[in-house]
Amino acid sequence: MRDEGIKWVLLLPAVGWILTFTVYPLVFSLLLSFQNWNLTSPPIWVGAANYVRALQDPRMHNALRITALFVGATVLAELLLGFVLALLFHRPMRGIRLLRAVVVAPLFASPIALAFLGMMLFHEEDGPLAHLFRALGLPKVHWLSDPTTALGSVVLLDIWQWTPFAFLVFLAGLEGLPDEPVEAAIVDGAGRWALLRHVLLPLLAPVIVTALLFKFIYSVKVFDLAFGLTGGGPGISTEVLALYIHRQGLEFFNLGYASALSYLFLSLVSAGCIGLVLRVRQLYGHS
Amino acid sequence: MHRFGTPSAAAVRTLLAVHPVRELARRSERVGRGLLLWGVLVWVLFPLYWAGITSLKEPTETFRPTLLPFVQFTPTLSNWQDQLRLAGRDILRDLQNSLLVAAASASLALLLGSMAGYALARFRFHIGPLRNHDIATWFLSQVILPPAVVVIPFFLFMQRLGLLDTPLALILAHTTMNLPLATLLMRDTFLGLPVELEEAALVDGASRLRTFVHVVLPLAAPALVSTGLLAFAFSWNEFLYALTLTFERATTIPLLIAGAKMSQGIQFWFVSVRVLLALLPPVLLAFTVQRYVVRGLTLGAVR
Repeated sequence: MRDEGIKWVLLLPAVGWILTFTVYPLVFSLLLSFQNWNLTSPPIWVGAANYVRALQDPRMHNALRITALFVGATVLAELLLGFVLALLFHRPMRGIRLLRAVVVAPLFASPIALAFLGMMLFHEEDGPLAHLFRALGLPKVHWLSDPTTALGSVVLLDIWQWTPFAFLVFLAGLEGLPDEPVEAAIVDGAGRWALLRHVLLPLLAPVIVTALLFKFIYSVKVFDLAFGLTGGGPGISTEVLALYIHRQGLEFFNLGYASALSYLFLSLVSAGCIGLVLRVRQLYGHS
Repeated sequence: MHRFGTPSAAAVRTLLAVHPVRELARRSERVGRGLLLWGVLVWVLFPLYWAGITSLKEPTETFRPTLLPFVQFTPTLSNWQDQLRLAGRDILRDLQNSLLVAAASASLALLLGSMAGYALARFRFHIGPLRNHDIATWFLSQVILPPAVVVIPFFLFMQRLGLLDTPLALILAHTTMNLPLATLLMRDTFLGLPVELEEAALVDGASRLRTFVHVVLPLAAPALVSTGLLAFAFSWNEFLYALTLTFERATTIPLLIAGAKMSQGIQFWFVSVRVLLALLPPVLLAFTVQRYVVRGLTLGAVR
């Protein structure tokens, strides 16, 4: 094609933008992670001290554990629920179009607003859940004030918000299935379970992996829901990584230490995402 | 482009429907699925409904588990009116900021993203060992980056540039956030357009740029609008950058919500109004771009 030069004019602004506003901050933050700086006095070079501190920081260990629990619970629950619902509802039936339209709503609900809505729903005296439990004669649940249930409440909100994602991705996957293997299985007289186990699951594996990895990314970044619903509490029982880093950096202004925490966070997330990158690189490569 | 096969679900549908089971079992299954569908609808809609009715209740009524306006309680607009009267200026300012930031960052991301997307869809790149799909993957990898990681350096830059608490700081942040989305979705769109029209325009002597603007972009208009609306919604909902970069003059709607935390406990009638102000615009937008939602959230990996 003609005028090859134009391709650079088209591509470089976007690349330059990301280099300026993402890569440059990341490099800056890497340098900062080897210093101590609280904005008031000049920064001091401390070598790897911040990383050593992070590895020994019990609050960091707590944040890692809470984040791992949150990610594990939300990803597992949402994918399972989404899969079951997609299997049940991918056939045409009355109300299906309404369902597909309605489930989009949670995905676009602002998470911070959802967290505040959660404060109303989980209110331990006057929330709808409290009313319901009382009416059913069930014991009172300390949705937000008990350290063990508080994380469950954050997880529940995330499940409300994100199960539609898995559902819609799996619906797209089911609709894109080739006819032949499924027909062949029917002709062979395969039962439902055998069909699911030996035909649908293998065929849907790529979609499942994609949903899994994207939801992993969205879960691991969680900030707004915990910030709004529990503020990390009670105590630090729902203090996820993003929340702890934000506190260290922008509440306590331990900028160097927060940067070191950020890099540990980033390396963990990246490790978890190598799979995604390879998988999607494949998809893009096929075009 | 590989997309997990082509749409043809007839076999799956017949499979489960024509499976040899007794008529009774089949009918009860249909009833069961119908009930489940309604259950799911209630599960999804109830929280929104609760916010809606709470905003229409007198303060004392908000502590009671009544569900039906007119039947169980008399709806009132007084909470909405009180909010506008007492905090009207704050709300208006945050609405303006949110609109400005979302519109500007979505437009910028769309501009840069459609240019880069077109370059990646129609030209061959060899940058060292990198090919087109490597560059596309690099854009995607930006999504992995947790905002919590870059928000601190971003804050320091904006401070140094004197841009803290200005809409511009948020526009820069949100454009960065939405640029990978815009680039990858537009690349995907351009890949799906027939090349012949562009070639015809080029043969007729139009320049590449002219062809892009006058032939390609109009063809991609639906995708441009949908992508722009998604980016708008993501910016509207974004909280962490807004919390970090704005305090007073440039605050957006999510901060209006976060400011609703009260010392004497949560005031349902007050919070519900603000929650709805934040929730409704992006949720309504989402209905208009339904077909793009999955594509958007997987950056084009699933259609």
